[in-house]
Amino acid sequence: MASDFDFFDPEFQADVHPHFARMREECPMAHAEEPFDWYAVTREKDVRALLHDWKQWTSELGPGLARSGGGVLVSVDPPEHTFDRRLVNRAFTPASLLAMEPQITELIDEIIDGFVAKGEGDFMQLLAVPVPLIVIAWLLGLDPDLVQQMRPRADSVIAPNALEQEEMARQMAAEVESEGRDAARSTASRSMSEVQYFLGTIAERRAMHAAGEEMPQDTLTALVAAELNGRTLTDDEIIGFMGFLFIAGSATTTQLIGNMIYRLLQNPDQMDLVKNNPDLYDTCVEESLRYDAPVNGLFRTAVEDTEFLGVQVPKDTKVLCMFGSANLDPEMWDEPEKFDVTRDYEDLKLHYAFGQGIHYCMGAPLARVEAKVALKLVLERMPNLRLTGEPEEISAPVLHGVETLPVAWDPPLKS
Amino acid sequence: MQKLVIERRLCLKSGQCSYLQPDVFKRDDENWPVVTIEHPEGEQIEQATDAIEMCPAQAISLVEEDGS
Repeated sequence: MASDFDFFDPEFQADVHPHFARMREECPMAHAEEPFDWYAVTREKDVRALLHDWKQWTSELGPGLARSGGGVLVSVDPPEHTFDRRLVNRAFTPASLLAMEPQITELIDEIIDGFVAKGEGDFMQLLAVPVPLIVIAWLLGLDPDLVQQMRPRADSVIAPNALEQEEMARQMAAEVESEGRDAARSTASRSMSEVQYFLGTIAERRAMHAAGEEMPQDTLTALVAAELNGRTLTDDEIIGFMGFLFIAGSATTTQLIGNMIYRLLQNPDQMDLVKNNPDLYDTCVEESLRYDAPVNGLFRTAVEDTEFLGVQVPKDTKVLCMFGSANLDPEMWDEPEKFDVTRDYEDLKLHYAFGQGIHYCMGAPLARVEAKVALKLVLERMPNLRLTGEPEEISAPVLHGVETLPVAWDPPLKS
Repeated sequence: MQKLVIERRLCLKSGQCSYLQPDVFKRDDENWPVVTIEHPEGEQIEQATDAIEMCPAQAISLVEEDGS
């Protein structure tokens, strides 16, 4: 049997909406056989069913296509997940993230100050990339300047080539079998190139902790001070958390900000609506998340031989829950293919861009604040914003959005 | 007396409350959260508070109810 769809095909990636529509209608449990057998669910009710049934559809083998053992948060289920989530939440409460709005406003204003006189450039490099990186650096207790240099490598971790990922997964699976979860966590962590920098930062923080010095209120402090079953976390465990949060907190929000501005540029009527109605900022962010989910979808794995939508699914088979498609399912949305910033907020916020269920994105409140402030300041400070060329699509299949966004705007008059 | 309430207007159906504190919350057929103990006492207040802090939507709260 041939594959029902080719997720890795640039043509699929360049315009996901019609492919999602065809899959929802013709093959709601779509089969793919590259680089091995896996499936994708695209209807809202099926995506929802899988996301809520974590006992049957586990995250223990990782959120990507590769079967990776060992990890944190997105790669574990209860009880580890419960511990991990609580731990990070100490420094990452929704209330504390929302309280960062003034600080984020100041940051974005400063970044715009730095380039606004130019009148043109790549919106992604100018704004959409640096903002989330700097904010996540603050939260993790990392150096914002150093973190900005790490960006390409971070991307390569979230979306490596499927075959490389599979090879890495095989190695880790072997290690899980011979040495158990902790060893696998270690391998997963050490594969990151940020490892040396993170180790140095952790050592500094441990020294502060040991000396009883006053610690910054960030995630690193929470991790260094945390106790798991009466012991503190190892360096590898801390790196696992930091690496994951660093990646999850940056690339995705970059896509959100880029997608939103790109979609507004393509829909001038919607752009005008938002410009003239600051009350629509929140709805605009949510509509962007619905219409252009920055993460196309994430995987779950069958814990045993099972059947879904009449398809026999062997144990350990990966199924991609296509968030971006659930967000366009006509069973859930009126005129789903219409980008409409005036939708009812209460219905709109229930989109799947942040997942649903126990793995619901912890950074969602932060992403929402960053996107809203970016939208507000871009509209205020980059008047007559317009496209000057064709954007390039991002090459990572799991992510949806643009890599470049060439724009021009009217620079402020020189005084 | 304190009453535990969920504001559906804010709820994101993340499922965190029923997953973290199943003694106090459950989910209905459409995955909306439902409070199972409206007036938590003792340890239940701690459980409710945990869910309040972890809720990504800030949709849960304990509100004072007058005794009348």
